Amino acid sequence: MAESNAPGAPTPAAPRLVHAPRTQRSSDRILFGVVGGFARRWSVDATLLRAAVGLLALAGGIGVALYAAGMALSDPRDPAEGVPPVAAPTARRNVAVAVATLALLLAARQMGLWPGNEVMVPAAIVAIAVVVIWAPATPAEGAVGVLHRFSTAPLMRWTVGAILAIAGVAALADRTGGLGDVGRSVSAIAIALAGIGVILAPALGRLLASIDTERMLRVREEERAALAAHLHDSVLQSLVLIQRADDPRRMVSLARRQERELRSWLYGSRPMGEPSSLTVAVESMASAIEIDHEVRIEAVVVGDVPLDETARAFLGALREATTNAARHSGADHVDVYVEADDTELVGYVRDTGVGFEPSAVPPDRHGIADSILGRIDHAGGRVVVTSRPGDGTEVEILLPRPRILRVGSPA
Amino acid sequence: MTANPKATIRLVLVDDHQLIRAGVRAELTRPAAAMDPAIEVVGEAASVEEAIDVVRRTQPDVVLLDVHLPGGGGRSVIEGIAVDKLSTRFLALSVSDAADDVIGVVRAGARGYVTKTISAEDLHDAIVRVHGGEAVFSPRLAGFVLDAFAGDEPSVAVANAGDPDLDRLTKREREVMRLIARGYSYREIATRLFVSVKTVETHVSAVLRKLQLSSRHQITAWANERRLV
Repeated sequence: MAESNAPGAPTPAAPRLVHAPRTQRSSDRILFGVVGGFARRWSVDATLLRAAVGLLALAGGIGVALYAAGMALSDPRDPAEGVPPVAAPTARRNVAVAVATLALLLAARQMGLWPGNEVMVPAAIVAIAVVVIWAPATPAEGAVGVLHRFSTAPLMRWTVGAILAIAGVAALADRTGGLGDVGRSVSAIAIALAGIGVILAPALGRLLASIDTERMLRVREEERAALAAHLHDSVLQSLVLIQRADDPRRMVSLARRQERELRSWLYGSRPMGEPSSLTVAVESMASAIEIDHEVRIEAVVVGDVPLDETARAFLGALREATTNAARHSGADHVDVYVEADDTELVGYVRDTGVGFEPSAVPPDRHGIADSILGRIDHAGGRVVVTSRPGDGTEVEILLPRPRILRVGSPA
Repeated sequence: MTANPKATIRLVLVDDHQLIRAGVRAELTRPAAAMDPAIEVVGEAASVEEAIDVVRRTQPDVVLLDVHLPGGGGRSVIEGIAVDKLSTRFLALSVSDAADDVIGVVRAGARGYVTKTISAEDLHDAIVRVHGGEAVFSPRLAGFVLDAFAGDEPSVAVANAGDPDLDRLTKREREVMRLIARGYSYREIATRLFVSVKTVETHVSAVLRKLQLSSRHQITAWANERRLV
């Protein structure tokens, strides 16, 4: 192969015979990426080059021969290599390609490789239409930069392109079968389109269905996470406690309480006698954990808010953090401090126990991941866990409250 | 009476539950390295009248005072003793009481408030502090204070006849209160705020003074409101 010698100035008509190194076919492809590859190599517009090759193909098959030659001279794209940097096509080279194409066409005409003006003129019009429709949408860069100036809107492009294409096709049809056959041609095209529609319709349906399915799966996943968080807080905790309890009476009471709670949760009603304010809820939570884990919980609440959705999410995370501290820290008491006002809820759960390395928590430990971080993250807040082995743990939970519009209040 | 920290601290226990008094006495008088200086329980009382009588008779350094007592509550004891102008200091001790009772005892003159869940070492430490003239705030009392002094209402402060500074906590005092409420010890707070323990104690004493002297009407109003909870 003569790939490494004769790097002299190539004529636009036959550059691919003398250029080195070998051209890589492009991933920007319609057939084999040959034209795309050379377009990148020469920094010309791929669409323009395709139109030129197409036109030449009609002119006695020159384009086909060129494509075959290009194919032989280029390497298949190496997928591992990635896409080489693309030089922006320049207007000058684009004009050169156009002129070269024109020259080749004229030469073909002289040599008798010419199907006749009746075919070539409509074919040229169709080629232009293709360029107009498929030109890249970035203005002033493509071969049709001039066209872009007056037709940047996609609608304009499609309209102009469609008119040109229809005119070209109609002219071709007129030449080959007479205008009388246009009606037949149109119906034939319609039938072909209908056929394509029949082929594509199921695929389109499948696409829409898959989008729907995806959304449904996401909703289901969120529900599952909420369910998992709840079960972890309630049932799993109780099961752990039951395993650790020596006293059969205590086991029974734990099981019974859990059963009652789970039942009321499953059948939609809130647990009976659930407190209506955050302060009361935090205090009853503290005393419940105190009884369950036999660890002293010092709960202090400053301010108060009604137990709405935000406060519930906050309370859930707080409960989880407190239970974690009571269960794992080994400290004899846990301090819980909550500040609640109109704008945000802030909670601190602190123990002076064994502590842990926050980065070393295994991912299957559901507690921190879902019940605290997930819950608060989902509600738009944040959680900061400060811990060092041997130096206790403090979990900070911050949750902004949604703004409530009050009529007549300033600002 | 001198407040020499090395001398034995003379203590009177006031609580209507015999078991609590026995428990506290056992915990505080058990010989241990952490229990220095030693505490001597010089008297016990189970009601307001009894308490006033015992305190007058024994003139202790510190009285450990239950907030709830038959015959008027802990604050009646402090008010009953007031005329005697003793140097006795009071530390309120209770389970978890309504805010108005706790604030009432502190405003009557107690130097602090701790809950009965406090460990023996911490209780000992609190008694020593109160004996030395410092203030002792449990997380709960810090929470009460933050709640009572919540929000800045300058108009109210200006309208007050008294010292307007008494109606407001400084940023630093608020910070210290929040850390106490979060369960930090004075030493830990000092480390966290890059100040000395002495500075933290000064802040806490300043807050106690405000709590006792402020004419901020919210404190009363707030405490009354809290009675319902």
